[in-house]
Amino acid sequence: MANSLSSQTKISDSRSGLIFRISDFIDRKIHLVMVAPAVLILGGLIIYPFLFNLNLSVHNASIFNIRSGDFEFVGLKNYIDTFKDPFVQKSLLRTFYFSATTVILQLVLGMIAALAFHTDFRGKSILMPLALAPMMITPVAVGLFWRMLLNSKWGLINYLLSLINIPPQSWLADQRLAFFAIIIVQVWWGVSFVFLILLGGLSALPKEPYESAMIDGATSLQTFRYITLPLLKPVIMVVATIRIIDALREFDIIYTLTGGGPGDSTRVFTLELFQIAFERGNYGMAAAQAIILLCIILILTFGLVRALSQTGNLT
Amino acid sequence: MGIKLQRRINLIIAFLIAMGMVIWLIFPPFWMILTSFKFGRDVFDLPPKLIFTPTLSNYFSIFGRPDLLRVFINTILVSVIASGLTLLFGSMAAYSMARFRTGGQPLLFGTLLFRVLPPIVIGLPFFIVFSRLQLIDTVRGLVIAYIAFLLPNTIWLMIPFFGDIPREIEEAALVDGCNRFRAFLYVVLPLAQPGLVVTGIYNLLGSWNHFFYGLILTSFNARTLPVEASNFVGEYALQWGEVSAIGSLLIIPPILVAFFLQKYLVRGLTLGAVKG
Repeated sequence: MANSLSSQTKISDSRSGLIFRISDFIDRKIHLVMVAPAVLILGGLIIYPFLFNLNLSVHNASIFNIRSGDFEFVGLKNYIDTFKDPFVQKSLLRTFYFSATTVILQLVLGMIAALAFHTDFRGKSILMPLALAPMMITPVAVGLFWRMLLNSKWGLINYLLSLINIPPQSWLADQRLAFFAIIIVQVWWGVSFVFLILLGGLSALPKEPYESAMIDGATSLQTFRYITLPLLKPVIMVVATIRIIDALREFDIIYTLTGGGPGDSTRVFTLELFQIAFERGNYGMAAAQAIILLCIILILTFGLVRALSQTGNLT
Repeated sequence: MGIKLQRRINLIIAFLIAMGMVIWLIFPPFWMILTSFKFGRDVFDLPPKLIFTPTLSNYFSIFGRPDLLRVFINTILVSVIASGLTLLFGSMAAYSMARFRTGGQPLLFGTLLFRVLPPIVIGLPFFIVFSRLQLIDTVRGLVIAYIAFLLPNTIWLMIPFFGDIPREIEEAALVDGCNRFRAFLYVVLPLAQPGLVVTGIYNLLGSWNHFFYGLILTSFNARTLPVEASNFVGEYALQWGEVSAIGSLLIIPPILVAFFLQKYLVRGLTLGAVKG
C-alpha cells in the first residue's frame, strides 16, 4: 500500500527527487528519526557526564589541578578512602537512618490518611486537594517556613507547646532535636504522595474479600490485617521504594532547614558530598561518593522494577 | 441499628483524622503566606495575631532589591524553554517507543534508570565542563542542565498516553496521504493532548521547584528563585516578613496550578513524582 502510494508521488514530483528520497528515507526510518534527538540528549547530558564522573572518581582531581588537567590516576583510592573516612561513615549511617525513619513514618501516616479518605465522609472533596498541596510546594520553601516555625525564640511550634506546658526546645540548635526536625519536615513534605498512591491502591481492591469477611464477622482490625495489607502489599512496596530513593537523594529541604548543622548532626550523605565537591573542591573524592550513592540507589531501583512488574504497571 | 451507629461513628472518626491531617499539612505554608502580609512589628508577636492590618510592604521590600525581577524572569525563562524543548523531544521519543517499540526494553529500562539518578552524579561534571565552556551562571547552561533531568521523566510519562491511541486512526491518516511525521504532528499529537498538558505542567512545576542545579551552576546573573530564597536564609535571618514574602512567591504559583488543574495532575502523579 505504502509502496504504490510513494511510486505515484515519485512520478508526479520528479523535480525534487533528492528531497523526496530524503523524506522517503525519513518516513521509512521514522521510528529512529523520532527517537534520535532524545537519545542524543540523553547520551550527551547524562551518559557522557556519568562517564566523566566515573573517570574523575579514579583520579585525584581537585579544584587545584582540574584546569591544568595534571591529575593522576589513583585507582580505587577515592572509594577506599571514602569508606575509611569516619565523617563519611557517619553521614552514610545518618542517611540510612533518615531514610528508614522517614519512609516508615510516611507509610504509617499515609496509610491512616488513605483509610480515612477511603470512606465517604462529608467534605471529602474539599479536604482532598488540600491534603495533596505539600507535594506541589517547592522544597526550598518547605525548609524556609519550617525554619521559622521551629525557631526556638519566636517559632510557633514552641509557642503551641508552651500552651500545654512544654518548655521551649531549641529545635534547630540541638544536635539530637535537629535530626528529629529534618525527619518531621521530610515526612510532612512526603506523606501526601504516599497517601495518594495508597488511596489509589485501596480503591482498586476487589470488593469480594471484604463482603465475605463481613459475613464471617471479622473486626475492622482483622479485615485490615488479613485482607487489606496483603492485597495492598505490591502498591506499598512500590511507594516505599520510590520514597526510599527520594530520601537517599534528599538535599533541598535539609540544606535550607539546617544546612547540615548544628555540628554535623544533620549532614546526610548528599550534603557531605556537596561540601566535599563545592566547598573543599575535592572532585575525585566527591565523584567516587556520587558513584557509591548511585550504586545504592540502583540496587533499590531493581527492587522497584521487580515490584512494578508484579503489579503490572510497567507499561 | 447497631451497625448504622457504628457506621456513623466510623465516618466521624474518618472525618476527624482527615481534618487533622489536612490542618497539619496546610497550616505551615498558610502561616508563611499570612506572615508575608504582616508589618515587621506584627511578625514576632506571640500569641500570634490572626487579625492584623495587612501590608504589601514585604513584597515591595524584596522587589526593591535591584535584581529580584531578573531572578524571576530567569526562573520563568529557564522553566518555559527547558519544559518546551523537553516536551517536544520527549514526546517524539515516547511516541516512537510506544508505537514501534524502538529500543525495546533496554531503552525503556534505561529511561527509568536516568530518572533515579542523583543530580550530583551529573551535576559535578556539568559544573566542571560548564566552567570550561563558560556556561556557568548563564540561562543557556541552566536550560541544558534542566533538560537532563526533565527528559527521562517526560518520556516515561508520555509513553502510556501514546500507547492508548488506537493504531487505526494513524493508519487512516497514512492512507489519506500523510507521511509518518505529518501523521504524528497533525493526528497523534492532538489526540495525546491530555498527556501533553499533564507532562507540560509537571515539567514546569519540576523546573520551577528545582534547586540543586541552580545552586551549583549559577552565582549571580542566572540565579533562580529557589536559589535566591535560600540566600535569604543567611542575609535576612531575622527579617521574617521578607523571607516569608519570597517563600510565598515560590509556593503560590504551584499551589494555584495544583488547585485549578487538579484533575489533570492526579493521573500524572500516579505515574511519577514531582521532584526533579
